[in-house]
Amino acid sequence: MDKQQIKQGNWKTIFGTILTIWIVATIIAGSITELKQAVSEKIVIIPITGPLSISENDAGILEPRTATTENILDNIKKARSDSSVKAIIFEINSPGGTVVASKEIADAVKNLKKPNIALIREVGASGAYWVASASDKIVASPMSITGSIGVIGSYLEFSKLFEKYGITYQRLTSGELKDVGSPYKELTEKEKDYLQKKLDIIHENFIDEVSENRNMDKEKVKQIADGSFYLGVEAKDLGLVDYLGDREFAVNLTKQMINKTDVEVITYKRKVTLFEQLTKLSSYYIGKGIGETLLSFNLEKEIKLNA
Amino acid sequence: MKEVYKLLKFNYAPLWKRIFAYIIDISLLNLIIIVPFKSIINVYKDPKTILLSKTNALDISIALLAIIGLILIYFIYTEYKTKQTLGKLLFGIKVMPDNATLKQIFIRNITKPFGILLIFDTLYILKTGNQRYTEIISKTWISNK
Repeated sequence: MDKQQIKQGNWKTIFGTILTIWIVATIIAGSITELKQAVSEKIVIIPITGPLSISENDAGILEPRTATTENILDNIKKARSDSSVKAIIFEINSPGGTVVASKEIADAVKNLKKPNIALIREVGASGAYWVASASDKIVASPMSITGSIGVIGSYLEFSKLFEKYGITYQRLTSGELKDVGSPYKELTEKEKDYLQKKLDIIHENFIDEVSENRNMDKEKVKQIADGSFYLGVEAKDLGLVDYLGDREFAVNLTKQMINKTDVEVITYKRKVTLFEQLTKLSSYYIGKGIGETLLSFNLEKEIKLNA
Repeated sequence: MKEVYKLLKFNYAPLWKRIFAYIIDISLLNLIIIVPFKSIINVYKDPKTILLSKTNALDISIALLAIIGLILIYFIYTEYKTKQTLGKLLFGIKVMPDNATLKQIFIRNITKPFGILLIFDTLYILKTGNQRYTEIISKTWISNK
């Protein structure tokens, strides 16, 4: 072997070694980080942001991003099954949402076997307060908006507008109340009573839940459950929240609750796929949303009962 | 005369070449070994955090062991196989003797991952003029190619 060949061989060996060492270092460092995440004790923050709904499809393209039960329940399940998660903080920034979504999330929070607290940031009202009430403790920002214990079933009615343009609604139903809440006709007194009763049942249920979750006298909850919202400071005086504070306060409180100081605090973030981002922005989606609204009338979908 | 004879016989590499070769090697190792572990060893900056956290102490111990091991592997393997490292290759110097054993190479590199030990080891050059302490023990030296 001549000198040139030896030199080339040396370069190859040295670069091969460098490459191997770099790969090994990256793998070891990655494994340690993963191991650390799996082994270290954690407090998990689950964000509940935007209107609550069963699934993303319930929200229109122009509506704010929804906090879907699908997503939140997945995160709760993940935190529950991970033994390294010692406590959960629900970081709420939501004006409420559909009754079913609110109840589903509240039930999941209530059935959690791990210490948990709700942290109300800007707003945690109506259905979002229902969810918060199901947690062990509630921390709210002093100027946050909370409470609003009530139910809305309001909707837009276009019958007069249609009349103006000579459009008539041909009512064809085989049940008297089948098309109750149709935006193409005026509500009769009977229909109004019928819908109001449903709202009252939900309202009653909401009050029961808050009273049970917060261990408050039902009558006291009834008095404040007129749908009005309260600032954090007012809510504390009324017993709707336990503490006034920010995120740091909530984390420290959780650490006290679990009696641990050395815990990692991680946030479960909502995963948005590239496809999802693209489809959300596409004109197809906008067209589909508008077209669906105009062409198809679906009673179950139209009357959304929001808490 | 004795000194000149010694230099001619062993063809010792000048100190400046060795220093620059070492700077290149250590910069490279910083890039390929220290950078991947950066997020883990950053905690080391705050010793209180380590004392408070058993997990951090374990992570850092494993990370430091891996870093030490990989630095040793780089110097020992390349010098054993080629008698050179990247820095030495670029400055045209090499480890002697040509038939140095793995044990000799291991001994001459044992202080490389440990800063303070390496400083003491290197200070020995002030006395000998050409060899570090571990080089004397291992009967190795660095010569021009």
